[in-house]
Parts: sequence; C-alpha cells; structure tokens
Amino acid sequence: MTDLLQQLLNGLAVGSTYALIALGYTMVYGVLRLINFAHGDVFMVGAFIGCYTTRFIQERLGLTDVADQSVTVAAISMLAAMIACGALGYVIERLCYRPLRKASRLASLITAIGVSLFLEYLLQIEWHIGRDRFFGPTPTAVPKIAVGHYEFDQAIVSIKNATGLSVSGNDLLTFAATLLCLALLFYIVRFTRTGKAMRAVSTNYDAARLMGIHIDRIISFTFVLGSALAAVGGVIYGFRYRSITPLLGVIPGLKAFIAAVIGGIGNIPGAAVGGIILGLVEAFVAYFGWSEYQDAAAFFILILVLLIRPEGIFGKAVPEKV
Amino acid sequence: MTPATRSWLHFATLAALIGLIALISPALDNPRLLMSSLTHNTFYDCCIAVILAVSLNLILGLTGQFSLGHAGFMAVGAYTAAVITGKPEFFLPQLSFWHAHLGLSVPASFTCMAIAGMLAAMLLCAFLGLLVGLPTLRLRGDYLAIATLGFGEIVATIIGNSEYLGRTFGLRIDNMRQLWWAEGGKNTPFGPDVIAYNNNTLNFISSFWMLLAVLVTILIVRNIKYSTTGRALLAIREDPVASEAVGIPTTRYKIAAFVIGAALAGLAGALYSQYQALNPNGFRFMYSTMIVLYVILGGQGSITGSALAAIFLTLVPVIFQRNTLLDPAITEKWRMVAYALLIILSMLFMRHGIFGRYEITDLAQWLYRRLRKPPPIPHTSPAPAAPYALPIENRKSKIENPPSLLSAHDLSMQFGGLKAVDSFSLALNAGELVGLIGPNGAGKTTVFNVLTGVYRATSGQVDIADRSARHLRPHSISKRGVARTFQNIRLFANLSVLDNVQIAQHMHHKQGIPAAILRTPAFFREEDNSRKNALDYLALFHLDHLADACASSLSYGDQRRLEIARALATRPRVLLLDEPAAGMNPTEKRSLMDMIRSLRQRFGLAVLLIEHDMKVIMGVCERIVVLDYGKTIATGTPEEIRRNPAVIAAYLGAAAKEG
Repeated sequence: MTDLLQQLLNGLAVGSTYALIALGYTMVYGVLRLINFAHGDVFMVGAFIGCYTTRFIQERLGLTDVADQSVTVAAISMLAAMIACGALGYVIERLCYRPLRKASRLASLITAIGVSLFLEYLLQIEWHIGRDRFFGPTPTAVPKIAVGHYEFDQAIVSIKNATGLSVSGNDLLTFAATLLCLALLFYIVRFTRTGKAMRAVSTNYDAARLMGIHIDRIISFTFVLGSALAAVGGVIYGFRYRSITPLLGVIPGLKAFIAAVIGGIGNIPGAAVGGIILGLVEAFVAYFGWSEYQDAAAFFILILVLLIRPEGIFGKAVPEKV
Repeated sequence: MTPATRSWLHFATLAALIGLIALISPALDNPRLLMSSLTHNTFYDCCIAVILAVSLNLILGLTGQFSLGHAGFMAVGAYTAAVITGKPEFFLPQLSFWHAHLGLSVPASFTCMAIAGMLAAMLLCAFLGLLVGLPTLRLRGDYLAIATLGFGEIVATIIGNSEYLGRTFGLRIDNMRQLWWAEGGKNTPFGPDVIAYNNNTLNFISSFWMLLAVLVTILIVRNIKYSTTGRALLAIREDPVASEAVGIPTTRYKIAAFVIGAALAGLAGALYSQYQALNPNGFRFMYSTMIVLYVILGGQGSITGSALAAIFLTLVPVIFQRNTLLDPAITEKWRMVAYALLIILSMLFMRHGIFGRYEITDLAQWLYRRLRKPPPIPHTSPAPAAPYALPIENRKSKIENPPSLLSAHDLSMQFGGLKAVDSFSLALNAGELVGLIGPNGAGKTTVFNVLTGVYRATSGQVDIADRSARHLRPHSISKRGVARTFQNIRLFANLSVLDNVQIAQHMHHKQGIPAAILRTPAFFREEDNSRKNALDYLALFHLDHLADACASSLSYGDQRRLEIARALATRPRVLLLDEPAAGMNPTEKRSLMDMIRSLRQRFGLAVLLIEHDMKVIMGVCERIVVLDYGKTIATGTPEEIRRNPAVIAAYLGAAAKEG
C-alpha cells in the first residue's frame, strides 16, 4: 500500500514536469497548429544552463560547504535558465518557423524535427574551456541545492518508520513550481491584453490580424513564454536527478506532447491535467513491475486516445473550415 | 501502341533489367574484380537506404503523410527475418524440411528460408502498418507523426527488453548459424558433408538479391505513382477536402500507401538482418529521421531524387571517415549536426528538394522535346466547340432518372450556439436548375457542406435518389452522383490541368493497385480512356490547349471553369455550384450561364446554384430558395421571389419593408 502511495507521489512529481513541458507544446500548437518538436530540447538546454549557472556562482563565491549552497543560488540559476531559454525559443521561432508560416504544415513539422536534432547533437559535442568540460555525451553532474544543512534530495516528510512513505524537498519544489507556473500562465492568458491576443490568434489567425493584433509579436511571446516554462521544468529536472545529458529532453518531450494530446491539444488546463494523468499512469505501470515498458505505455495511451477521443479530454472537435 | 503491346513492353523491360542484374552481380560480388569486403557492406547499405527512401517517399512524398517510424518497421522486418532464418529452433527443422522433402542443397535451402523470412517480414510489417494507420490516418497528419514515432520507440523498447531477441547486445545471423553449426549441425539429416560448407555459403545475401529488391521497390512505387492511384495520392497531398469531393476515399488510400510503404521497409529490414548485427537502438527515432532526410532532400514525390540522396548520404560519411584520421565518435556527432542543418536549410530554402516530384525520365523527356524542335506555337484562341465523344454514362443517366435526385428534409446544422442551418428542406428533380440565395452568412455554403457530407447534419435527412445519405462520407456522396465546386476555388493547384480532371474520374476506374503495379493491358486501356475523356471535358470549357499547364497558373476565370470541368468529370447527376461566377465580368458571366444551361440539357443534370448576382440567378433559375440566418424564408419562381416582402426585408433591411 505504501509502495503504491509512494509511486503515486513519484508519479505526481514526474507528471508535474510533463505538465510544465506540455504547456509550451499546447500553447504553440494552439497559436500556430505546429508540433514544436524542439520543445523537449529547449527543456534540456534549460537543465544545462541551470546546472552551469549554479556551478559558476558556487565556484566564484567559493561556496564549498553544503550549508552555503542556498536556495538563492538555485533561484538565480532558474531565472538565468528562463531568460536564456526564452531567448532560444525566440531565435528558433524567428529563424526556423516564421519563414515557413505560409508554407505547408508538413514543412514546419519537418523543420521542427531538424531543430530538435540540431540541439541534441550540437550539445553532444564536448567543449573545453580552461579546465572545465562543457556539454558532451557523458552525463554532467548537477550540484546539490540546500537550505542550511538540509539537502533537497533528502526526505522532508519521512514517515519511513511507520509506513515507509517519504517526500523530498525536490518533490515539493516540483509541485510548487508547477502550481506557480500554472497560476501565472492562467493569469496571463485569461486576464492580460497579451493573453487575450493569444486567444484571439489561436481562434482565428487571419481575423486576429485584421483586428490589428501584431501577430508576429504574439507568436514570439508564446514561444518565449513556453520556452521559459520548459526551462523551469528543466532546471528542476536537473536538481532532482543530479545528472543530465543532451538527450534527456527527448523522452520527456514526447511524453509531454502525449500529455498535451490527452488533455486536448491547444487547451492549457488540459495540458496540465494530461501531464499529471500520464505521470500517474506511469507510476502504476512501475508499481506493477513493468518499469521497462513505461515509455511504451505512454505511446500506447496516445494511440488509445487517438482511437477513442482524438480531440482529448478537454478539447472540442473543430470541423475543418471549407 | 496498343495497350497489350505496352504491357508486353513493360514486362520485357523488367525481364531485361533482371537479366542485367543477374549479369553484373557476380562481378560485384567478386572481391578481386570490384569490391573489397568493406565496400561490399557499403554497397549493401546503399541498397537498403534506397529501398527505405523510395518506400518512405510513397508515404511522405506522394501522399504527404509524415511517418516518423519507418525505422521501426524496418526493425520489425529485420528481427522477423532474423528469427526465421537464424534462430536455431526455427533453423533446424526448416532446413531439414527443405533439404529432406524437396531435395535442395544446403545453400538452396538457405535461400528458400531467407525468402520465406522476407515474405513473413513484409506481411508482419503490413499488418502492423494497418494497426498503426487505421486509428491515426483518419485524423490530421500531425497525429500520424507522433503515433509512428511512438511505434518506433515501442518496437525498440520491446526488442531491447526481450531475452529471446538478444536485448541490446546485437543479434547476428551468421554467428547464430555458426553456433548452431558447432553444436548441433553435425546431427542434422545432411550428414557429415555439411561441414564442407563454410561461412560464406551460410550467407544467403548477395548483390543479386539486393539489386533485385531495389528494382522491385522502385518498380512498385513508380508504377503506383504513374497510375490513377498515384494521382489520387498526389491529390490527397494537395487537398484532402477536394479529393473527397471528387470521390477519392482519402482514408483508404492513405492507409494503402502507408501499408505498402511499411511492407517495403520490412523488406529492407529483412535484407539488412542478413549481413549486419541487429541492435534495437539502431532503429530508433534518429534512423527514421535520416530516412526522412533522404526524401526531403531528394524531393518529395521523386523516386530518382530520394534514391540519389540516399546513396549520397550513405557514401559521404564512409568516404569522409576513410580519408580523415578524426575520431569516429566525434565525427559522428558532427555528421548528425550537419544532417539536422541540412533538414532545416532544405525546408527553408529548397522546400521541394532537388528533384521536386520529377523523375530522371521526366528530365530526359523535357530535354528530348527541347532538342528535337522548337515547341509549337500554342494556339491561344480556343477551338470551336466540336461534338466530343463524352462518356456514355452521362447520356444514359438522362433516361433513367428517378423523380427526386437529391432531397433534404428538415436539415439542421448547429455549431456550438450558432444554428447555421435551420430545418432546411429541398427536393431537386432531374434537369432542374435551382438557385440558393441569401445575404452573406445566411448558411448557403453550410447547406452545401451538409449535403455533400463535409459536415454531418445535427438533425434531418438527406436522400440521394431516395436512399439516405446522411451518414455518408463526402467521397461516397460523390460516388452517388453529387458533385460540387467550392466558393474559394479548391483545385489541386500544383498538378496539371489535365491531372485535375483525370483525378476526378478516379471512381470510374476499375483497375486498382495490383493492375497498376503489374501494368496489365487493361490498365493501359483505362489510362488511355481516362486521358481522352479528360481532354474532352477540358475541350467543353475550351481549356484543352492548357492541358499541360499547372492549375495554379491559370487565370481566375479559367480556374473556376476548370473546377466545374473537374466536377463534371465525376459524371454527376446533381451539380452543386458555389458562386461559380464570382469575380467574372458580365460577358464571362453570361457565357458561363449559357454553358451551365447547355450542360444541364446535355447531361440531364440537376443544378443547385449559389450566386450573389441577382441578374444571373433570376435569368437562369426556375426555382429559387432564399436563406436568411439559416432559415428558409422563401421559395418560388424568380418572379415570386422578386416580390416577396420577406426577401426584400432580408436584403434591404426591415426599414424597406415598413417604408
């Protein structure tokens, strides 16, 4: 029973990460009808930038003791990752997707695959600056974060003696960050002018343009916002698993897409719910001892959803305009 | 040339090519003559790459469906063939079967087993292709990409976790055979002489089989491309909605193309398993993307292009690696970076690839025409309408007309809170010309979309010739004899004018994919007929001199006329025209209306016409239906409609009624 509870808790944490990535997928899909395959890799870049920023600050300030490695450093790293990934998202959209907006959707889909591969393999090439090694195919170790003497990967709520259940600081951080991002996103999309413009573009691209909405700016904003959210997910992923590689974004990226489809692609709350559902399903699969097949399970769910309800849980079937 | 001669010629060419392969392959296999052992595998790799590229081209290039799991199908094929030809428990009984019952020599039995393995691989892949394709291909293209990507990953995961299939350690058929040889081979029915066969004779694969597989693949895809099926696939790539409207069952064709492509990928895998160690991780996403790169670089739809790109991209890394001393692990990464850049750049700057959808033969034809003599001056003035021999069915339909060809009863269509069409009723009789008018947004086009199955009515009944048609898909409705044009012209813009009309005759073709692949005499006969008919339809609209032009290059008026010609080519009994005269000048409008009237007479058509120009509507229609906010506000003769106060109010506002 505790095992199951523990797995569900893990599932919730993993699902939150999927949800963070899925939000970016679903926003871009909503506005451009494009599956941004490179999104999982933006998540990966976020993890790397978070890791290197933390390391840089710690080295510069000579923080060696665990007690010194405060949450502030982590927060700064996260901010740095969000800014850098936002910029990356902007550049990808500007250089690769914008010129193809008038072309067939297949063309932009293929380009997205190209961008994804480009990021994955470019970062697999090792760089040496001074004594330090950057990127490369071998896993990079991520520094710990801590408050006082408490390290985040230790159990914070341990009922281990009684039931064996434990919740780590990283789990809490994941939940908190996801909820915060969701709330922020919801606020932006529902209650700001830009959000209203985003909804307008996603409902009708041409009409939105005729109403004087600066389409390019809105699409860029969507990419920047989605990429920043992916960066949050990436940095947390790094802190959680403590080891990152350039290919780490592939599987979470795909699963996040599946999560977005489950929730109804283009639908923001749907993406969050889909992420959590997928995380929980994987936890169940692991609980029953088929953890090798976790990835296969996700795709199986995808095919199931496409068979039964292709528009997803919260999506509406939209008839094609003729 | 008669169709029979052409069919024979096709077979003779094929036989000659096989003969040629048989002739040159021993030379290719002989290490002293041509190849060292390293380049031998490179040559095989090229063949495999070509098969993969050409088969994916059928799916991605011709049909425009994005499959990212081609390597997954290859993996299924490879492991199926490996198990059948290499696993001891399969190996032993089968080999003895071939040997003992058929009296085959050991190498010959190997060959038989390998062929059995290939066929099994293709069948299994076709079946899995159907399983993946059925749920996803009826949806938008994006889902196929994700589902096939998932399929490839699932396949790799399952193989990687299977002890029986060697997990990720690599499965090698020749090793397996040697192992069997060492352990149990002595006890087989072959007796001691079996030891005489060395490792080389254990290998089935040779250049002959490789080249034969390449030839068969190219032949299948090429023959499909240049047939009514190929035109249908291109039409689906251009515009699925218009394809359905001219009677092409798009989902069925997408699935057919996908299944054939998957089976050919299985063939590639089966061949691959015969000379390479198998590792499931080699068949993941990356490999599928590389095959996609072959197709987009070579040209989506071009067999020549994708084959050349496949060979080029297979050879370049090998040559590069041989001539540099760089660490292969690093150059491999740079190669991938270069591939990724190539994908992005070719999409940005060369979207149609190097060859577009043209083949080397098209190029040769073009050159030949260029060199022979200057092209004849195109006669711009249309020839006078001569009596053309149009298909007999049309005239027949005039005789056996049922009373009401198309009827709608109490039809409603709701979009969310908007009732776009509200209990619409209409009975269209043979030879009748009915106008459908109403202010903008009155729901006229929605009525068309509901009648032709593009939208499914929320409630109500549609009957075609007194049989219910409410649940039919657009292509079935087209098959029942209802054709339409679109308000915003939907031609197959990148195809030729002739192709546009030929595609519309699709449902009257009886020769399917097998006949196209085999190039039977009946196939050629049908092609000739369809071409002649298409030219006749074009001539009706004075478009025959533009037959080879690209549809998008036509003037606006010609495009409208071509769309009507295309609709007529489906040989309908009911024609729905959505603002056919939009954007035409008064003279053009008048001649178009004369045209419509004469077509109606000649083919016994019932016509339902949406038009904004009152002069046109009043002049040509016998009966008019007026819609406003989805409701039918009036029906009657032009004279009645002209005087109807509700109609005047709808067009000029309520004030006009009061004042």
